[in-house]
Amino acid sequence: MKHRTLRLIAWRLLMALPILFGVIVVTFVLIRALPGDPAIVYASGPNMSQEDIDAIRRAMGLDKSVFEQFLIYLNNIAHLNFGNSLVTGQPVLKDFGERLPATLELAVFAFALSLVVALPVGVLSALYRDSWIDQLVRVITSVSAAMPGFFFGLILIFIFYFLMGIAPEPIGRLSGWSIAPPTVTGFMTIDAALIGDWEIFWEALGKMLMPAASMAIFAVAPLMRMMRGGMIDALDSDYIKAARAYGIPRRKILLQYALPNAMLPVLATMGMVLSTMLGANIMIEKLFAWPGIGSYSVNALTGVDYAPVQAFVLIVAVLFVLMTLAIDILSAAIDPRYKLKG
Amino acid sequence: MKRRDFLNVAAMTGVSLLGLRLGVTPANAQGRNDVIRVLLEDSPNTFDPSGTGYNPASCNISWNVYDRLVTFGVKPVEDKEDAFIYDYSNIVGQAAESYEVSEDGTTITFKMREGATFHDGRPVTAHDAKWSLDRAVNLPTSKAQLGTGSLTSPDQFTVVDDMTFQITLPQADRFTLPNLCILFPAIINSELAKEHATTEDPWAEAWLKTNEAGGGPFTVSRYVADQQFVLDRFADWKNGEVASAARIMAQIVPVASSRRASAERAEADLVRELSGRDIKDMIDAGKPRVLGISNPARMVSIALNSEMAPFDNKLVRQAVAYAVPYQEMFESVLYSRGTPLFGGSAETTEARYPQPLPYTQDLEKAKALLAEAGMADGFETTFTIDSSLGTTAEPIAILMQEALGKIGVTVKIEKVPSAQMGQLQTDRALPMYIAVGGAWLADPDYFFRIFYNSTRRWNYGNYQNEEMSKLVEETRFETDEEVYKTKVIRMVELAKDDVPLILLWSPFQDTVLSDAVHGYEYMFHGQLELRPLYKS
Repeated sequence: MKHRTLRLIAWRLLMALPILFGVIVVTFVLIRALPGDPAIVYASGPNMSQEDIDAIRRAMGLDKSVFEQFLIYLNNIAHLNFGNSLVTGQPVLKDFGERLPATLELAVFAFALSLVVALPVGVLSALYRDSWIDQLVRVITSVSAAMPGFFFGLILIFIFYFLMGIAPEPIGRLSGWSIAPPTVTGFMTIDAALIGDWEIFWEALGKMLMPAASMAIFAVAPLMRMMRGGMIDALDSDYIKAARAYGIPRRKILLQYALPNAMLPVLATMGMVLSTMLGANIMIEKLFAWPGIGSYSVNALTGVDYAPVQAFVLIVAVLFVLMTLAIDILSAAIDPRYKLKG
Repeated sequence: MKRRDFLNVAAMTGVSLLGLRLGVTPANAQGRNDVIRVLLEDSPNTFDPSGTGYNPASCNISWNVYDRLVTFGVKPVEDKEDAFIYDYSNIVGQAAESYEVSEDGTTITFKMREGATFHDGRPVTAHDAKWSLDRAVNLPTSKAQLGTGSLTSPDQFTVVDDMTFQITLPQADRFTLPNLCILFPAIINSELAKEHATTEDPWAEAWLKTNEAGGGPFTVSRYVADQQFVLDRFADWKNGEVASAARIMAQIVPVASSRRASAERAEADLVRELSGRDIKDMIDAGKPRVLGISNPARMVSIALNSEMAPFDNKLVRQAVAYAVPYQEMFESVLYSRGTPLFGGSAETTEARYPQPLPYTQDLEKAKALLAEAGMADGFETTFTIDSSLGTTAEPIAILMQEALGKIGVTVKIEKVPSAQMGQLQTDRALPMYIAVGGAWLADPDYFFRIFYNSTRRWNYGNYQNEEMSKLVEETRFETDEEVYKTKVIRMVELAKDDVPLILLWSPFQDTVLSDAVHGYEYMFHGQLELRPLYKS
């Protein structure tokens, strides 16, 4: 079994290669199909002539044919060279190395936050179906599903920072006065904990609360609904009736028999939610001046900075592939009927 | 979960929340005299003053980290307390202690400052000046600009001795000294830079992009792209007055509402790039100090493509100019945070530009002009807006659409990203759009040369007029003041009559300051001049 799983993982990773190649081709072509000439954007002085613009174009290698540019790009990727960002002037990999942990930390925290809220409430509303709890939860999920995270973030800032002054300034991962711990994992909270600087740890956690809540707001509704639906299905099934008939204690029925079976659809949703959080929290990152990959790649896109955009799509694609794989493995572990397929 | 576990968790959560509350401690910016906290919208993208593709925000670093041979003096802003603005007519020594212009104006000799050093302690010599200027006239970004001051070739720059530097010009040029005051001809530590130059990269562009080799009043002590930069005072700086030892801590906050919240809670000392609406609200609430300084050389306008039908007809352009709801736009879009460039007098007496054009909204006149042009039934056209101009562009476009609808012109609004905008401007493909511009040098002929004459994208109205070309040519080296004035007045008349650009206003550079900050100075580039800032 172990051996077989490993082989399947290897197979799946191998199968991901054509997908990634497709992603590379599509992004490469798409970004060049976009209107806007980087050389003109970078020739920013009002006295620059056409020759100056051409000189810049040559220096950027954009005078070569698209196919030639693509081969150069492929060769560079093979050597793990993703090029330099024109906007920050640094190698793209270094930029991502600095920003990806910030995005990951926030996404993981927001994800945990939404699980902590959504799952117990989902179970409760399934247990007390159609009671006032269930109705209330329904109202809350409808509102939260309709609320754009960005807008929710603005409300949070207005109330907790601006009016009440109990939340920290909604800017960045640490207040400007604090000294960041030496980077080990890139997760501010973990790095602070590693050197035992609890003041920074709490500060970093506090800074994450509002952006994480803004991100969690959209995730809560689907998770809660899936949890409720899964739990209802499980509770209505024959094996639960049988378990009840045997007189097994209620708590044991819920936790040991119903919950694992109800988790299966939730797990799939969780995968999707986490992926979305990683890739699509650009507005939240902008709002809270969060130094993540979302705001970075949008800046690159508006600045027709090809290298970071290409790298961003590729990195997110890799994350998606890994995530789906992890979810599949987890599902298989929970449900024996669920077979890992190549 | 067991009951006891639950209680444990609950207690832990309580502790955590308490911790978070303690972790907040809003470090009030005003209470710290040693640090000036600045919030900006955009991140600098290079340290190199002549960096390819440098963005305006990069001046915040390169301007403050490097010195130039000479710089503009300052004068107090009229009707504003505790605020200063650069004085275009007063050019003073900076890295050069003094300078001397020869009788015929073709040689300028600079005396380098004794005892001045770069940040690494090496003395600032004429060799550094030579290398820096050689570099500036070689790199595409700075080359073209310096050409407007007759600075084109390294042959013009001579090292007389270690502390004497000389520039020779083909003819006297009133744009040479102002061009030496702008961003590009920064004095670079040539020995340090050369250590990082290679055969492919003789001017060390790659290294200077993320490293500084300056001798200016600040050193970069921390820089994280898109997040923050910290500038420390250079203790041995000798090239001017030093107001304080406070370090500058700048943070990049892309969303305006977050910057505004910090400004209102007095957690920042200096906040830039807030919308007119935000500024007006803050002034009405009477809380923070807002300094709105007008830069007369900046303008916001509506460009009409003078070479594209139907705007190739002057009457149609005038009709549009009479249809613009100027006052309404000024109040509801800009919240009156600027100087109007409309409703001026038809007669031209002053030789300066931009100045108010003689247009106000007059729909009857607009209709009559359209009829005269043979377009009584109107026409269809497109109004293009740059998506990066967000808060002002869209309402302007909508007001234009509404107003032009009243004279029978159907307008379609098209929104494009700024990258594409540059391309469309270069290709002259747009009939009508919002054009924003500002000149670093204040002479009116310079403004006309860029915005009303060139073949480049900055001639927004695609204006091709022989008389204008001739006047622009003739005024280039004109030294007789009376002749110059007459010719400029003629150019202004052409701009008023032909209206390739419908001027709207010159926006204020609004800066929100905490009560503790003093000495604010506005520089021609509109970015931060940090040296004179101090706290008390």
